Amino acid sequence: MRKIKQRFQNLAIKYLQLPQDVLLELPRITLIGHIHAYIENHRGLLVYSDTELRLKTNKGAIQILGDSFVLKTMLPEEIILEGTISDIKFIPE
Amino acid sequence: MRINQGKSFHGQVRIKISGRLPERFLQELLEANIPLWDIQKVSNTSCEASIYLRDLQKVRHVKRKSEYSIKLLHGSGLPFRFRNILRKKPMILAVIISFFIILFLANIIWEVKIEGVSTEIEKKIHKQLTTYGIYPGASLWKLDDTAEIQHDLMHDIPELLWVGVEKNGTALHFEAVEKRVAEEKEIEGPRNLVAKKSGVITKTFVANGQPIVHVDDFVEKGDVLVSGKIESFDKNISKGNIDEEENTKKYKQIEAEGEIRAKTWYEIDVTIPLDATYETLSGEQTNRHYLKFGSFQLPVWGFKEPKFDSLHYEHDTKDFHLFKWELPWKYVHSTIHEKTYEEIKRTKEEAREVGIKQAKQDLQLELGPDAQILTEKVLHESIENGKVKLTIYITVDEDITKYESIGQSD
Repeated sequence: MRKIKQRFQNLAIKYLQLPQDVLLELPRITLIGHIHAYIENHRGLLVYSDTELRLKTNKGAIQILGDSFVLKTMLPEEIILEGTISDIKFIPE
Repeated sequence: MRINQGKSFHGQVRIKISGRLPERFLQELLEANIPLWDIQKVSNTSCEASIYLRDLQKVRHVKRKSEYSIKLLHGSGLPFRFRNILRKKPMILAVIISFFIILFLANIIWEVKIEGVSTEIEKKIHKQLTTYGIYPGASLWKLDDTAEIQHDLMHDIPELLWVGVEKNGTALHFEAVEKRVAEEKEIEGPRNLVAKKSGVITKTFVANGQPIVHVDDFVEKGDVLVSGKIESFDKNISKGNIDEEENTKKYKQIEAEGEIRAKTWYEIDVTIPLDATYETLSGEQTNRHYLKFGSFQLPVWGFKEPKFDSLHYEHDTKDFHLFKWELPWKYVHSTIHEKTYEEIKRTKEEAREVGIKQAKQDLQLELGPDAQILTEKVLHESIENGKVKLTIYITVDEDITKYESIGQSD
């Protein structure tokens, strides 16, 4: 069943030209240089401190490292992070 | 980014979350659908964040189930500002007081203006109005309906023919028309009643004096109607000298009083045009306000061009005074009325009717309400230059008495 859904999604992406992040429920990260990160489609906040932000995603987690982090906005599925970003890492499950 | 909207309108609160791993609590808040912003980790065990003021209850609800403690740091936005204003008691008091003052001032009479009558009558009206409770400074609450004021004034001041009352907010404008009372000179002391017009007597009523004329008598102007000289019936004299009484009649002079009505007649010429054009104001008007410096007029208010075909201007100029000096500028209020022309075309018969009606009206106005018009007859009628000329003969039943002092007539 799941496989069928996956295939259907893949087909939809291919033929309907839909953005991948919407259908596959993957996080979308928008960066503005190294000062601003805009993360959508996350699944929850795991760790947040001055120097580290870790978010749960559909498959694994995202780790952002840097300095003087401030969460400018926090909504159920999106986070805007400000600070000096030095590292973005995907940690698979 | 939509979070930016309404932040200050709804009010935001900065809270401090303390406990082990405060981000867990942030996650809980997110799951409860509470938007957060400006989150900052202060230390390992505490975290600061901003939330909407309206979400504060929800946050407290989430907190109850967890082991974190929340401290409110400060709030900002309209609700807090409003609360701050409310906290300033003198200011609120001042607002309330000023509101009441405005209310009070808006409900007293500021101006009572009387137009159209002589100063004497104006003073009389002012005095009368004061007894009604209408004077500058009086309350508007107790004020009667304007129609009622009008009625009362007409009743209490007989010199007034007509009074119009107009209430303009806090000002009362009275427009009055004075009755021109042709008062007969009361003559003190012995007097006769004489005819002021020629006529045939129709009714006599003598209260005092010796009647000389009778019903159906014809009298000329100036004839004595009722004499103030009456025979004296002094008993002492009549008893003592019976013979003497015959020779020297004793007279007593009194004030004759009575009403003698007579049929009088008038010949009146009237001219009625067959075609007439009247100028009337349609009631449509616009107002202009100017400040006038010398001969220069600076428009202040009212710039709309009136869409009237023909105009009638009315200017009302007011001077500014500072103590006793007249200031060099003046305020001019001009009212532009719409003028309409009305044309009337009459036939000969209509003109004749109008003429008779007009003649009767004029005569009635001249003689007063006491006179009664009996008959009218057109003696002569001609048309000249589009005008109907009428000579009308009118008979009137009226009081023809006039006082005349006896000393004078003798």
